[in-house]
Amino acid sequence: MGTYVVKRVLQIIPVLIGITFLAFLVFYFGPGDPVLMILGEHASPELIERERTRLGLDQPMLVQYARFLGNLAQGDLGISYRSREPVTSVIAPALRATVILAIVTMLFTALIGIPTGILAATNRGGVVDQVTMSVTMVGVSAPAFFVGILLLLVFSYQLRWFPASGMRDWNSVVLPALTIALHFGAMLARMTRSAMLEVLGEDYIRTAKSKGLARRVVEYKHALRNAALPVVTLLGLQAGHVLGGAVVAETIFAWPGLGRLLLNGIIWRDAPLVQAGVIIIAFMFSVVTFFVDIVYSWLNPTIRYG
Amino acid sequence: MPTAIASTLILIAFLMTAAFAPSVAPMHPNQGNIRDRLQAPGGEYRLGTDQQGRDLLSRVIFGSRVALLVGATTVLIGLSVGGLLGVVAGYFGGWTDTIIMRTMDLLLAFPYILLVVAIVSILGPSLQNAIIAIGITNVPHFARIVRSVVIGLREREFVMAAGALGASQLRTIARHVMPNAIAPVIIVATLYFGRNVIAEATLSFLGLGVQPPTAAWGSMVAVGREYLRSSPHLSLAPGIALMFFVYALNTLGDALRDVLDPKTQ
Repeated sequence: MGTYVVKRVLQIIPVLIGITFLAFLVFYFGPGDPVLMILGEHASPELIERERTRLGLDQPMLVQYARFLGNLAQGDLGISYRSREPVTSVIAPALRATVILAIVTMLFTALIGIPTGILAATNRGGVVDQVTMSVTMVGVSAPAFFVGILLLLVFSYQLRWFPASGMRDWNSVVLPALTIALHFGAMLARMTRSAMLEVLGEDYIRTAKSKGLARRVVEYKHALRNAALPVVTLLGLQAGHVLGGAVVAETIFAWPGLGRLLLNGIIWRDAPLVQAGVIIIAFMFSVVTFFVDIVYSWLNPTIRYG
Repeated sequence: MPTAIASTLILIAFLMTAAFAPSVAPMHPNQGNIRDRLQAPGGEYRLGTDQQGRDLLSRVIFGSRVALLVGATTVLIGLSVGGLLGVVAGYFGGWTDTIIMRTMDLLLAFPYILLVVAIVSILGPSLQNAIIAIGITNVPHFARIVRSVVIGLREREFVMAAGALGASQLRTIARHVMPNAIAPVIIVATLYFGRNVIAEATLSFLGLGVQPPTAAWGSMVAVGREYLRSSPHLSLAPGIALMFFVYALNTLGDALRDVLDPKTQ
């Protein structure tokens, strides 16, 4: 186990270097001249030249990249063009909002997906199974932005149960979280069902049944445990996606998270902000994937030797 | 099986609608009568009109063209580039494999929609750039699937025999390896077709894809958002069309997987 963890940690390093390089390229080749963004369009040529030297923009590309890595190591992600504040202080509250959204979303996802999947698998071929399979297929096919619009229309405009936007009350998180969780929950339900079915067809389940154990015991104690592997993996990957890509849900409900901030950064052509956002999101995504792999190898020891 | 046939029929219907959109649509999709703006469904305009008085049904019909075009071209980009990389990585192995697959992992290290948004932000928002961006995100997935098939086949007797009989590497790949990759690739292509249509609609919804006045389902839902309280049909009509289309695609993809991949039965 120990060597596997070390091996897996070492695998992250080239990915992180790749990520920082990609983020640097966005800045380097991206639209907008940073000096003009800072000084304004009407700055004198001498002033522009001095600022360019000060920022090190007259240096070769790889030198600039090294300098960027050095700043990054010290936690310096640059100054946002738009707000003129350090990028870290712009991103911190957004990161907090996104983490809250991610926790609630994954809670909803697990609560929707796992029981539904078990219910379908234990009633294989029956009416319950067929109905859940059709309904979850709708959930898988529905685009997040349309689900969000429907939730907004029904639960905010018509029923007035939840606020339409912002992050003021405790219940503001419900609709954006549900927007993502309905889709993820449908995916998880289908995954849980097929994982359960696969396990229920195994020999040891037949043995457990034939030695007279109660059906519930076989289903929940023997089968569910072994079906957990793909389910946990999917949950982990989904968590990674909410942490990084909840652009749509955050935009519809004006949730002040990372995805929305990044989208605005792109629209405002705020390169330092976009760069920092890309790095943070990709980093979180790698960390989550890392933990998923560790849990996976802990549940299924054969992976470690692969 | 009946669901697979039903979804195939639905998809054919979408295809025909898109192909003959000018004759199927009752009105011009981009020209409206401003005096008839925001009409409710029913009456002269069957699905009502939008904020510029354009016939919503005609716009939904023309929107199917964008969806089909995006789905087909993005899958084609993913399949040709990813498939080629996958074959090369799987067949030659070693350093070639490591370099190609680590690059693919890097692309997979970003959340999907974010990668698309980032690429579009560099290239600029348009339908063509949306297609390029979405196509690029498909490349690693197709590369992985093709590579795993090729690796599984590389050591098989019939592939070795082809080499032993003097077939060139290119011929071995084209005649003996590729045909075996068709089934898994078809399944993945069907599912990604639907996913890519949603990705384009999402980009257009965020204002980063198809630009007005072209009718696209995603941007139509976005425009309707501003009139959601008074005229919800503006968002509902294109949204339901999109959902229906992707539902049919996913159902077909699932059925194909059951038929072509006996392990999941």
